[in-house]
Amino acid sequence: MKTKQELHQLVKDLALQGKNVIVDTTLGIFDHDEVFDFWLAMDGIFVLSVLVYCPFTELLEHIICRNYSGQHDQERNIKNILSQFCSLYILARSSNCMIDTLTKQEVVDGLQIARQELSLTKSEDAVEQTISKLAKKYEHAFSLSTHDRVGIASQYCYDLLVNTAQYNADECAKQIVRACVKKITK
Amino acid sequence: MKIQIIFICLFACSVQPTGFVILLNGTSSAGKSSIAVCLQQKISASIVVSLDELFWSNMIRIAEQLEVVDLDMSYEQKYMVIQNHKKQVYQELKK
Repeated sequence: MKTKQELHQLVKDLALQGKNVIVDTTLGIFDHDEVFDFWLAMDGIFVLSVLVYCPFTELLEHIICRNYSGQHDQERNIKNILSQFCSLYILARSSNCMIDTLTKQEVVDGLQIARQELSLTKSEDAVEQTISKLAKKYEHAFSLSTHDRVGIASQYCYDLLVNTAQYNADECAKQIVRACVKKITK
Repeated sequence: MKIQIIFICLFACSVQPTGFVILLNGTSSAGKSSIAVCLQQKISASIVVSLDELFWSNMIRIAEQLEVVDLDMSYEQKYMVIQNHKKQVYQELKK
């Protein structure tokens, strides 16, 4: 098993063997084709797509908790996750597709947390370079240079969105099961 | 009648029920893995596949072979080193 395409095939093969497969992944970060490739690979298989959404501020809290948990396998790279947020969410063009709001202040505070976190392992210059890149990315993605608060939307289409800041994992799972039953019986 | 029964039996044997797929997509640390665990408890015959974990396990294996990372590094350290050598490791992975 090597590339992501082969991993997608593994998911399909498991489904064809009668397994119900729960795919835990972060698709479409580097390449939009990744999402397309996944759907292409799932041809003929029933798929319920779910966006697991965690708002920006809560997401940063989760990362900090993980990174100070003392468990190395739980540690995450704050820079990568902040970049992922910019890839998975876009500026909402209308209120219909808006899933949440994001403020300039939240991003400024978030980048300050990232600055502190990165300074533990990187030189001051490297940290400032990273923060500057991230700030530009957020300004560009969410037009934060001209707006104090913007609506955000998902980059991709899903059957369901679950908000992990509003509901715990068990409640989110119940919502997913309900949506799954609804889609299957449609 | 006999032929019909044989046909039905053959059909029943050849049809294997197909499972379904629940795709949980989101940023790292959004809570996908915790939801996956809860879902597995609620859905029969279910299996959790962490695509990124599998993908990175492969990347780490290749990086170890290329000696880009040290064996005694933590998972997170290896992950960060591989980010800087992604092109080299990915080329090797595709071979």
